[in-house]
Amino acid sequence: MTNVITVPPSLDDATFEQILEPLSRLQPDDKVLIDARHARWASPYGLTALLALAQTRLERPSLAVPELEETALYWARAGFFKYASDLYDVVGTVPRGRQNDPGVLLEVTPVNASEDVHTVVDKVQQRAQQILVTELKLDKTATMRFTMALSETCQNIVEHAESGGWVAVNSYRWQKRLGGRRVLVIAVCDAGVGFRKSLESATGRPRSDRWDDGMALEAAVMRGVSRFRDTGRGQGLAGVRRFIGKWDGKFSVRSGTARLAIVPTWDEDVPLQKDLPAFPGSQVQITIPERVDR
Amino acid sequence: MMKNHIDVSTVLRRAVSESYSNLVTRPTGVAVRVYIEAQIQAASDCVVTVIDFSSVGMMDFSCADEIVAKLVMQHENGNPSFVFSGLSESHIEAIDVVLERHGMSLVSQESDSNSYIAVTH
Repeated sequence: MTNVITVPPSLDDATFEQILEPLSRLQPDDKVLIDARHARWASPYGLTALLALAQTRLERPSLAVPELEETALYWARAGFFKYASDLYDVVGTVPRGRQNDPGVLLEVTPVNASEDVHTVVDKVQQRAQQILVTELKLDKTATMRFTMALSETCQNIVEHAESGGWVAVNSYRWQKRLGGRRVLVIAVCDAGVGFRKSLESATGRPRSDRWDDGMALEAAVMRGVSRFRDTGRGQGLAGVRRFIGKWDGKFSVRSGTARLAIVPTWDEDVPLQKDLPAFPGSQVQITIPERVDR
Repeated sequence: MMKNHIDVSTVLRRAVSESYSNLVTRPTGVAVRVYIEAQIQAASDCVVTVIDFSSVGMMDFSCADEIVAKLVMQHENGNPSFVFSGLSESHIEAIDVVLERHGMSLVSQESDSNSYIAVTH
């Protein structure tokens, strides 16, 4: 029997939970159809997390393409179908996304090794300057910090996931939130071992009875704890967190059954969510809003 | 006083890849540091080694840790002394974060278009 899971019309980090909730009740070898026919929009998080989802399934899943041509074309231009066709049995017509979408700063890109991080950084550097300075009105130094943040989040996959992952960077205008300001969104998703298991692999690290995915996220993101003994390790995501604060940005990391977020004043998210539907690996999102002079 | 000048951008291209201009990822940082160490050994009569970052694009925390912090820690006897030159504001920011983690700090000095920094414990 095929289990149909409906993709919500607007797919982002929050609504992706609507996919994970029914998915978490299934066995890894159950047949799944991800029905995106009625999807109208997807964030970089939505697209990269859909690819990570497919990697968790033992039985090759199916994916029904969005019916709305504009949506399917955007997904194609974002590079989604290029990799989705390797992971899913794709049902429906996939448009050819030859033209680049101006909002796609980095199309969906696999991250499997250190070389991929170099490629990602090189690709975005030039266009990042234009988007960050012209559209988001940040100062020129933001470009370097932005690429640092991108590099560190991608390295998190290479160093800890023990599997490949995906990165995508898009810029778009929020219709309803933040008074229609532009935002730049980085999503880095993998279906690897996740933070808790990665930290557990460090021998001799004492753990309390309350040790869980939430505590692992707090340790790694807030305190820079790493599975490596080298005291220089574990600075990546903790360092990214500092930058995000300077830009009034938002930083969220989901891993296992927990999600930790550094929440700016313009957002109403909760800092730590526990007991979410279980999903392997880690899923990171960075949102940088357009600066407004107050 | 004998000075040894090492251009990090050249090291990056020779040690890792001709096409790279950014110091990103830990393996890259390790490769660059190993290459620099070999150059330091080859010029063992030099008291000061100038590590020049002026042609480097960006440097992430991993490379700042592998190159700057580890070099300083491995030569904490001051032999040779290091001057890190040609640093941009974002380079300094990354170095500052990693040195703090190791209980070290830096003093910086502006000089024309480049920033020069010396590292101190």
